[in-house]
Amino acid sequence: MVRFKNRYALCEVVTPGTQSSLLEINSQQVYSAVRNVILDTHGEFGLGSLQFSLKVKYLNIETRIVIIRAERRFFHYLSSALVFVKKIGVHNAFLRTIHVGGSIRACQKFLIRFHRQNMTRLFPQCTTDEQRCQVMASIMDACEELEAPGRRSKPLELGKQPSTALDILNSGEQR
Amino acid sequence: MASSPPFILEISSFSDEKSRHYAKVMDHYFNNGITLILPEDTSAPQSVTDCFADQLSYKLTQLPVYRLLEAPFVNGFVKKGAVHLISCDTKLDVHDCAAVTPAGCLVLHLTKDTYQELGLEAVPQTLAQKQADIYQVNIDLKADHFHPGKRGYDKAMRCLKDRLGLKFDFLISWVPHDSEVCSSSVGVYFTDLCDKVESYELTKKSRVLTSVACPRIVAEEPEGIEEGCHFQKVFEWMGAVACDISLVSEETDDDNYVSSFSCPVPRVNCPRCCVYQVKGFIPPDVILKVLKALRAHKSAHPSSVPASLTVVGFSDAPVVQKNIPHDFYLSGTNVYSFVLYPDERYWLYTASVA
Amino acid sequence: MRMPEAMSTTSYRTISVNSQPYLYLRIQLTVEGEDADKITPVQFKFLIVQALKENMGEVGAATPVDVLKLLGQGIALLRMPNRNAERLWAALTLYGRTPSDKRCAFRVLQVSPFLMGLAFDSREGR
Repeated sequence: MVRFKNRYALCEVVTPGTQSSLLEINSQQVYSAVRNVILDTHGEFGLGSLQFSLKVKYLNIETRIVIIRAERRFFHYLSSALVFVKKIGVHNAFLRTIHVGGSIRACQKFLIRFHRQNMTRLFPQCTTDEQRCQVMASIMDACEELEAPGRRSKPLELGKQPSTALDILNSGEQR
Repeated sequence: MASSPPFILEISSFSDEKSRHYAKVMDHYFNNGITLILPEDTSAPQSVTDCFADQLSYKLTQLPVYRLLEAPFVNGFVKKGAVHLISCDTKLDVHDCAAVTPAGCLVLHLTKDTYQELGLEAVPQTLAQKQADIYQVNIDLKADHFHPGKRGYDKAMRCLKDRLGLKFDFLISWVPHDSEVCSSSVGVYFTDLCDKVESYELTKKSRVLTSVACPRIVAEEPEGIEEGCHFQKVFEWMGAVACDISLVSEETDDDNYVSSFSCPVPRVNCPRCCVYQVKGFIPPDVILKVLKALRAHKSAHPSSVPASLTVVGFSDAPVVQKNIPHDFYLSGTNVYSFVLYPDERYWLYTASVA
Repeated sequence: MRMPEAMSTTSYRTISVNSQPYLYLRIQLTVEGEDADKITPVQFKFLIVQALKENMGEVGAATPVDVLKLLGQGIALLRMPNRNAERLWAALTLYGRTPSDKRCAFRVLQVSPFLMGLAFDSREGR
């Protein structure tokens, strides 16, 4: 049996001038934005070759991360078209590709590392305890969701958070 | 994409005993047209135009292929001269094609359906033929054992005559070994054997271009490192002249919407240039004569810009050079081109593609 | 002669090139209800760019396609980069409707990687 080889583009949704609380996009909107932009840049041929495999696999508005799947053979059409996204839904937004992986798992691994790196940068910027908690909670939430999607239903207790992530948080606090 | 044979440039001299120009011309059997580019001339020299005067070729309508196996044709024409015969109005990639080479070989280039009905053995297929389901049957008409009464002959005759009445429109020209014999007798021979025999005329065109931009060509430096143009660009320029694409000697603006084509640099301005084109069915012997006349003309009128002679073959010819099968994938281009310098030196381009 | 005679007799050299930079096409454009002879080179190029844009998008429309010559009866000689010529060729043949909503068709008559190959068409007059 032939395996369909895919590539996953891990992108950050950048919305200049829109407050995060007002941002309302769903994966359908991301899909149609990407689809239209492929039609514009690569025409019917490009869209036809990608349409079968094109899918928005994951969207997190909190962390503004989106994972888009495309067939490996035609992935260059997607990666070159993503640059031209200007609007998602009603918001002015563009996509910044931060990673390309061969599986969702690889993207998850990268995302966790990426967030850890960013956490250390974010944490010292916080001024109040409340902010610190917020940053920590949202980031941990995202990590947890990606790392173990099956365990999401279980309510998390504060003390049982993964030690590695906590260590990093602490080290950021000490700076 | 099928791998295409490379584009070759040979740099040599006519006076060189190892020069391959004779073999090149004689082995390229089926020529559809020639283009002469003569800078600094206003008309083609008389010696060149005379070469085409006594050239006779015929178009035979609906000639059955088995007629080519018959003893009078083989003994009277194939063995006593160079027969150039090619099926016309047949497309090599989709139709059956046939040809007789001057070496006396009948080449049938068949689709799978025809081949399986025919029942004659094919030569081993090339890769491209395998992919296109094409079979090539070669019959050596000059072979000693190939005469009526022998098994091979009878079988070929039976297959072509009774089993499958293969008929084609043919172009034929015959160059007899004996110069006393007139080459028109081949046309007379076929009058009763096929529907119609008509003379296939050559169409000659001559035009004079004024103030053309020519690339500067340096014989010793084909790659154009210091002065002179790259040989590939020179060939493209020659093609542009042959296709009558306007080349202005002034700098054309780079922002031209329609076309960005321009003459390669460094260029020289040529006040006049004669382009002489002949289209038809031209046997290699005539081309050899033209080449000879052109060499004589070139050494008599030395000029800084070299002249060129380009021969374009039939894109649907089953064989191009000797018995090498011709594959048609995207196009059947088979072209060779001489660039003649006054001092007997020449460049020979060979461009063929499958 | 700059070269001594002895040199020139031994100066046999061959250079061979495997890939060609361009592909040349002889194409014919027919537009429903319009005289093909009246098409100007600019209109011709515009329709080609439209065809590329529709099928290949803006990236395809950015390929440098040159209309070398318009020969009449809507026949033209084109030059396009060999690298993605097959897809551009497909885009041309798939094009079916002009912006003014008339049916049209590009027919590829002859193809060659050498402009010299298009000087004669041994299949014409059929």
